[in-house]
Amino acid sequence: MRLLDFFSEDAVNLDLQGSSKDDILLDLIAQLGLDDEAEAKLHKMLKRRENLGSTGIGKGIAIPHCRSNVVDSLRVAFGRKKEGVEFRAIDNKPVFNFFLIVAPPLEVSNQYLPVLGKIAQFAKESDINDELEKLTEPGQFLKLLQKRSS
Amino acid sequence: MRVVVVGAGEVGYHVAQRLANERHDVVVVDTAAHRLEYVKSHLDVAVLEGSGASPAVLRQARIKDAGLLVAVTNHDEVNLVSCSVAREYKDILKIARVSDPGFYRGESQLHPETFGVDVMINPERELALETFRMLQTTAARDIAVFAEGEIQIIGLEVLPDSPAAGRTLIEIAEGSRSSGMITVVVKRGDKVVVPKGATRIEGGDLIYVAVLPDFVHEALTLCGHQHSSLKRVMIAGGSTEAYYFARLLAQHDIEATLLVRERERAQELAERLEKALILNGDATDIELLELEGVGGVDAFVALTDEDETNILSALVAKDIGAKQVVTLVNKSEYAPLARRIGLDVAVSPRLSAANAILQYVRRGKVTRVALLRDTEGEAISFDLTARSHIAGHPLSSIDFPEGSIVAGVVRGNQAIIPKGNDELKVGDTVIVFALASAVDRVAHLFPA
Repeated sequence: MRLLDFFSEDAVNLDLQGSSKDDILLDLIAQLGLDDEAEAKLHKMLKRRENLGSTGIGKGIAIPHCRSNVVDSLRVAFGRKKEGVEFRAIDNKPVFNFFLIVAPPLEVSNQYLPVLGKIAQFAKESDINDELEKLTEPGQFLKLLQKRSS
Repeated sequence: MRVVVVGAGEVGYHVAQRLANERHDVVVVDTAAHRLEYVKSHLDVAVLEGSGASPAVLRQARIKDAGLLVAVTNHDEVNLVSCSVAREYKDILKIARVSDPGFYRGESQLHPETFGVDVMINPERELALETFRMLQTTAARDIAVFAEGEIQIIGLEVLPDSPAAGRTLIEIAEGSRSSGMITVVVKRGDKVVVPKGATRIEGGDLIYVAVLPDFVHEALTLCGHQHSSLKRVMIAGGSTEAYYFARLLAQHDIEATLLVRERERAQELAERLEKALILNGDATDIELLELEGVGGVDAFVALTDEDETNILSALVAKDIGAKQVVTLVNKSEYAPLARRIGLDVAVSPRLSAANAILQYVRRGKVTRVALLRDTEGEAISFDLTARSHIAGHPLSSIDFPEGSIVAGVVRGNQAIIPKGNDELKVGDTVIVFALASAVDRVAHLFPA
């Protein structure tokens, strides 16, 4: 299983518009290309997950994730906000890079945890923020992913 | 031997209990009168109220006559100072419980040796190691490892429709390539016996099997269990145990997610654990566990500092579908309860710590001791010296005490599970299982 197989250029946004935690979640959701109703439902779910504990794992990275039946297979998105956003991350520092993961409640192939694990590994590389900051177009994100994750 | 135990908490209590059972002259020192009252009413030991870090109190405990000081309070500083005070007395083995990981990473300016500590034991790290070994061998209730894993003693529940159920040990041996394993103890209900060939194994028994590494799979199959590999583990809690455990998982390339309730602690761990995913959240929250996909993990390990939280989150994880669930239980009274409500394994730090301490108590002829959970017995490895009269005789002709059995032999680089006609040789490391009542008599067979 390769992370690259789950990402496409459409799901990469290097210039998120939102300036609050809530708006950032909406931006990320928008990258999945769902209908309005599904977007609203997913937004509610992600907010609920964040209320149980922020998915900001520190060092400028957040991995909002949840299961929801608005998708029928595992979906991911990457977003960057160069100025950073307050996300109640565990280190109380602003978050710049966001990885969204949404999986259906019942998955035959059970990819949710492997993908979450792989993204966490990718995002915990010590120089990853520098690398992500350098990106100028979505294709470069996919190349970085290919280079850094097995 | 006179033994001074500083600290009447779970670890101190258990160590004092084991040593008192072996008829050592034990005095337990603590500042908490109510703990001492409890110790006194349950164990055949002396108690002394006061600080174990105080020279006057240690003098009163007759430290000068002691052969062993075990300082195991919950405070590293007290334990270290206690050993330091005892330094002026020669011929005392000084063991200190030191839990702060900093002491083990060379970060600290204060090295335990400067306190005159001979042996540092770390219950949290021991516990993490035990938990890891248990998870690696799915279905094992307990594992003790000898000779770097060349010989393992594994506790297994015999499932009712397994190949072992209903057969005698001789029948089982005939039906398998049995040279790599031996059953050393059988527990049925509350009754614990060292089995003979004619002993019949029944479904529901807890048996301990000594095996060579290649035979672990066969032992599991025999008892009706499957072998599984660990890829993904979820840990509830940000305790020191959780830290050590997550580090072990990382070393073995196993993915770990930690759910840590306190944000500051979560951040600290996120910095120290490079590979693990640290999430801030309450592990007793059913919704959170579901959202984090606990049903898909190979194991859920509850390692918070609160037993109640551990048991509750473990129950939820099991209900949602975690394949294996391990619960940290600090209060020993909770261990049987955790089992009764169906939790796979309950690990208690006092046993881990007592194991670690007892290996050093009989240092000299004994190289390692492991207490086997639920058996009132222990596996001890002895070096066979020329002074022993049992060298050169077939095992079957040696009069081993009732309640004991040879589990394995390490000769040079080779590990053997011996049979009756095998002989022991001088220089062998002999691993013997013995019930508490037989330990003394077994030790006599192995003079230093």
